[in-house]
Amino acid sequence: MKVRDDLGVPEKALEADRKLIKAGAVAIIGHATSAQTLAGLKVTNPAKVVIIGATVSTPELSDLDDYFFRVNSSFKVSAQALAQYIHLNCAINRLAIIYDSDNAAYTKTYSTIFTDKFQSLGGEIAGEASFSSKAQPDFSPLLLKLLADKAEGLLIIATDNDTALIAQITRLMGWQTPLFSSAWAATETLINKDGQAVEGIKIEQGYDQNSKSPAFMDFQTRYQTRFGHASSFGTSSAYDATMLLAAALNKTEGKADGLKQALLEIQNFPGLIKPSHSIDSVTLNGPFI
Amino acid sequence: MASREDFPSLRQVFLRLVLFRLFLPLLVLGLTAIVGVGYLEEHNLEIQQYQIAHSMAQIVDHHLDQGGRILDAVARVAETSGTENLSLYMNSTWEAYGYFETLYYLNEDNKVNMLVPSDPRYLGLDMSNLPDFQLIGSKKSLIISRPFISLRTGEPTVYLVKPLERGGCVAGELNLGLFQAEIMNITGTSGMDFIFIMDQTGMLLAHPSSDLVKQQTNLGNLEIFQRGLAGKANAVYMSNGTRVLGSAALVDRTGWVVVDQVPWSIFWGSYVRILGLILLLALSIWLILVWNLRKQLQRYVSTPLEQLSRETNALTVGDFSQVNSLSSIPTPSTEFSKLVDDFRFMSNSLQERETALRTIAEELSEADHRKNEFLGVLSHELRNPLASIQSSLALLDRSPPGGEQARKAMNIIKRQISQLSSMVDDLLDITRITQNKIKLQKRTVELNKLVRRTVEDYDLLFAQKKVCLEAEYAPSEIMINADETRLTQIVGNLLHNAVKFTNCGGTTRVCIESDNLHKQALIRIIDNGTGIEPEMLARIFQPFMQADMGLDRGHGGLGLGLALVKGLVEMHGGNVNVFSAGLGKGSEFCIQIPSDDAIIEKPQVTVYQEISKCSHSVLIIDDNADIAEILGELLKSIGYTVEVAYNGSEGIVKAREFKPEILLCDIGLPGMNGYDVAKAFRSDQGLKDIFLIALTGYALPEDIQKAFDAGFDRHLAKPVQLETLEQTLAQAPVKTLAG
Repeated sequence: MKVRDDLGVPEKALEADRKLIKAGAVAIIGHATSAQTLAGLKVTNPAKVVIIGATVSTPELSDLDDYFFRVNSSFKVSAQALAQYIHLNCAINRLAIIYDSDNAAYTKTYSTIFTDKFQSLGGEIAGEASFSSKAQPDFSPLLLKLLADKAEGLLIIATDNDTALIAQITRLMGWQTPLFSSAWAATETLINKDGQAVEGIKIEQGYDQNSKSPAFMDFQTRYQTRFGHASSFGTSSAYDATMLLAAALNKTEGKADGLKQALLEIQNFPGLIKPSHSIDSVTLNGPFI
Repeated sequence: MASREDFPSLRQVFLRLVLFRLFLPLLVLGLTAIVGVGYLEEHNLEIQQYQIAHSMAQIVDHHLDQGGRILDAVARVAETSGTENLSLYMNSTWEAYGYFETLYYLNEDNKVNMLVPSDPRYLGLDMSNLPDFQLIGSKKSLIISRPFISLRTGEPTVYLVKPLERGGCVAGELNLGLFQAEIMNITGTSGMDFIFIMDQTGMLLAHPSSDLVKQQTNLGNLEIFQRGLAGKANAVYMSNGTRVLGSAALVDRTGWVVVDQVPWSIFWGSYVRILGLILLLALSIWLILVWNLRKQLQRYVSTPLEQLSRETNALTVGDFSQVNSLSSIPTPSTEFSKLVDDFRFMSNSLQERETALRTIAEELSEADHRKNEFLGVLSHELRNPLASIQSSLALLDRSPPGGEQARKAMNIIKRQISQLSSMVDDLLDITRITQNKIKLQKRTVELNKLVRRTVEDYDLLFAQKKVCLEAEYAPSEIMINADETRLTQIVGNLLHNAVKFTNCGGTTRVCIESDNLHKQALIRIIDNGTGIEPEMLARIFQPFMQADMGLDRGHGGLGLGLALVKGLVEMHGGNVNVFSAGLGKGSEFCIQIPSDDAIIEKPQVTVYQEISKCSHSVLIIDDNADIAEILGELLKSIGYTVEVAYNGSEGIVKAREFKPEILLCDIGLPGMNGYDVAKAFRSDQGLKDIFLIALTGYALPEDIQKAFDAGFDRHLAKPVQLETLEQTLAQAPVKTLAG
């Protein structure tokens, strides 16, 4: 097992992948974001090194005959499901969207898919705002503008920290609009930092935190014991990715040759929550809201 | 028996000794010491590691304590002052302390009421969902939160939260970079330590790689963390593919775990280097030692032993010429020096012994040669008288009895018999002397008188050969303690020798002197006869030695006279010397006899009762019929009644019938010997008083003693003169005759 730190940015992800390939890695598990994965594939595909994403959900990586696999679904489905849920279940027609442009591969695409679906259902995007998380922006002016657009709800596509801050600020502004979030922010940190603003926020995720699957419950228990806090979408997905790779390597006796084919041949792999499908870039977990 | 090939060479023995008795024990000892040193080194390293971790834990605790005190002060201000004063105080505190990323003042709903540095974006934020803030209501003391990423700065921090009495709290974001800096200080100093801090769950609080902290990496799976939670701990474990030695210390205030780890290779590498160096050094020393000892062994042990072996082989074949080369053998030790000395001594002894044996062999060869010559001489000397006796007996047969021719023949026979008897006596005497069996009958003798009598006895002989015999006696008496008979024999032999080797017209002079200084008497017999060759002087006293040993022997004799003189003189405690200037220049014999220890003894006087020669009966027992018959006839001719028997049994029977007064008995009889006969007579009531005389050729002192022990009254040696026999017969006790 070789570990390299991609530091959460695409450039470093590319460098980390290059180092792992040079070190003889037969497969790579990572990265956390779609943007990093898109960068890394520039070296892993030519090297024919399998890379399995645990949390990557961009549809840009779907339907490609390459060496990328993932254990969660493309957010295309979940974004559409969320749009449908907001429009039909919450009876919201005007929605504002704010997203983190630092991970545009995810956020911007997610926003577009969501918008398309939402509009196709008859909804209207009252306003859209973006920010760079790295710049530690003041969200108040952005939110005031969206508030001025008279949106009936706000969809936040950002990290847990930023989502928590945006949610709190909306409440501080007295804007009591319903809040929605993509799966990206579905962590314990969001709950901790969001204060009372977290009440009522609706999060889409291909992950059932309340699953009663024996495998998931056992995993949760062991994770809590090991790390002192509850597991998250990212951790359980990383576990599934690791087990999937191990199963494929068993078939190839640990060798890189034939690993892609071995992964393609695996059907109904028993994930923690429900069977995962690794047919190219399509894996169906969820969505849950 | 094992062959030589079964034994190892000295070199192999030495190598085995050095290898198994020196090197391997040293190696084991060295390895044991290395293991021991390694254990102590590792133990010291563990202690040092723990001390570093413990120091770091104390530093962390110190910072937390300091932060807590500062928050206490801020809380007191918040409790007692207005908002404006609190703002001022929080600003000054934030600036002065520097380690708080942000200072918060939260209202009763745990919403941000005030923060330093000021940032309106965060005013009013609800922090009530943070797990550690939820303890505010139940806990009044300082709360230290789990690490998290600051909402405001995005840096890893922990909250120090001080609840207020009236609700709400003051909180400080303690930048974990503080601990990061402390870690870098320590690791920068030691150069090999790798320190990191984890909270109770294993989440990193500080680490040389700050990114891992930002990513909230959890290292709870490390063995050292699990053991560290229980207190002081050390462990060797794998970290990022590297084996490391870690020590953990607990921060008492929070239960955080501080770990100091070093790559095991640092310890092990240095240990292996030391081990290698020691082994290399040990091997080098051993090789040098072996080489040096082998060289020394070769020089001081193997080579000398091989040389000694060669010398031994040389000695085995009798080659003593190489013994001198022993001095070239190096003798590095006392033991080896002694061995070489002993070997040299043994070699010299062997050489001397062989030389002596060679000399003895030569002497024996010469003695054997002389013995053969002597036998020739003896045969010659015996045949001459026997021839004279035979001729005289023939003349007696043809001559009328009582005539002049018969008388001459009888004289010749007597003279030749006397000469034969003298030769036999000499032979017996020389045998007795060499066997030390002559017992001297010493008494006080006046030397002048004794020599005078002897000279008178030889006057006629000297006169017959027309050699002048002169005597010069000492002016006063010289008393010596001597056997008169033997001393007479000594002087007589020398006079006989002088007359034999002095030609007609020559002179022989006898001188008696007293050497008072040395308390000895001197007898010199000087002649101007044929003299003695210088080379003969040293051997002249040896038995069977005569200067003239050729076939044309002009002087006769067995060559025993001078040997008897030497033997008898030495038995008297004296010595005899001979001087001669060479052939034709005469000779001088000088006898020295001690005179100081003369013991005055009364001459033993044997009183015999004179008896009449008439009416005596004698029984003769002898297995030699001729001797028995002639002796019987002879005794009859002088008036004895005689019976003859030829063995012991017959003799006893005849004695009982004949009742003799005297028994003449031979010793060497067939069946019952003479001793048994005597015992039988003494044990027989009818025979026990008969006067028993042994007449035998067994004449050695022990033979005589045995005869007396068996019961004989007298002992006579064959041949016996008639006069001697008559005197002995006359000594028979009177009472016997009276019967």
